[in-house]
Amino acid sequence: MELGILSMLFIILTLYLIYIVLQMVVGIYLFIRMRKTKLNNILPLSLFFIISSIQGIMSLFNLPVIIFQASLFIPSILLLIFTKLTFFRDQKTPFIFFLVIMLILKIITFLVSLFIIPLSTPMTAKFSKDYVLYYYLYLLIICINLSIPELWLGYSALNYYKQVKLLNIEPWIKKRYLIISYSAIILFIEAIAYLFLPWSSEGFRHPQALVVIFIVTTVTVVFSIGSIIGWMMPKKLKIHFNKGFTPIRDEILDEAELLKKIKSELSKGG
Amino acid sequence: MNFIEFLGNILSKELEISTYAARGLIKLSIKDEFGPFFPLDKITYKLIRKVIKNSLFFRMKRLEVFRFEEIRNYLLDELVKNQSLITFESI
Repeated sequence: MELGILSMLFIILTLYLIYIVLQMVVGIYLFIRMRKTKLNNILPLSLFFIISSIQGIMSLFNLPVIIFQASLFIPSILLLIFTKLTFFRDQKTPFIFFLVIMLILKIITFLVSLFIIPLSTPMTAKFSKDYVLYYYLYLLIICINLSIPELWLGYSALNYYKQVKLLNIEPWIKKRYLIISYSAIILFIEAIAYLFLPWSSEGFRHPQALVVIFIVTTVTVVFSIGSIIGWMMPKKLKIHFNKGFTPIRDEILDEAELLKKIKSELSKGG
Repeated sequence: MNFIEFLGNILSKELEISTYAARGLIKLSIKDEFGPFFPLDKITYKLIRKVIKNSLFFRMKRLEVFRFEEIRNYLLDELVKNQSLITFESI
């Protein structure tokens, strides 16, 4: 193998290891926070990170393609569930529509991989050109299945940020919306990049595949860093974002005094 | 706590009372529903919905608030629209 390809592979592997570690760290942190806060909607997000990390570890070993295929879209579905449970409970949303689309596409790729051609990114198995259509269909399905949850989360967080940016809410919370939305939207680049993987059995030795995988890995590392900063925001950063913000300090009254105040204000106003 | 402050601001406008009094009313309703030792930072979407539907509703009724049913429904709508704030401030 050429030295250039080898050094590129080394960079990709390093980035990939960083991604695996960061995803696992965020996942475990969110799991602990979920237990503490009893916010069950965090569970799918926590599992999204943990399973993505485990998949990353799995892909480092030469496991049968079918095992990888079976678990491939689980994180995407978990991200979709998180968005629904966090932003849209008791609201009409395209959630079921998205879920059905993703599951159908998942079943198609699984069946194609099982019975027609063992699909992988990048392709490593040798097959005749008759199967090229399956391959590009597979890449399109990956792109769609990654894009739906990423863009839905990114859009929802950004949309809510726009609604609350002028309200009297601690600025670090607003920044969290912004960071989470941008990191999810950035991940869309990953989905698009998959479309450019070449039909070639050379795998990582193909220069175009190498560039695409480099882009995918870099984007996922950026997403992981965004997730670390967004979800595990250090106290110092929160203080920095909150500069100039005065939190509300309520005077302590007992229940009787408070009720008296409420009644007196109600008689004047409401 | 941001979410209670947020909901308090909405309630204060609806009842035309100070935000402090409105927040107090919400905190008293949480106390009615879950007892005096319930930590406010442990509030979840389901729990606050329960508070608005039950104890806050009955407190407003007892205080003879005009349009108390309408205000409850408005608060529930606002809760649904702004539910993500609970998660984003608690993690």
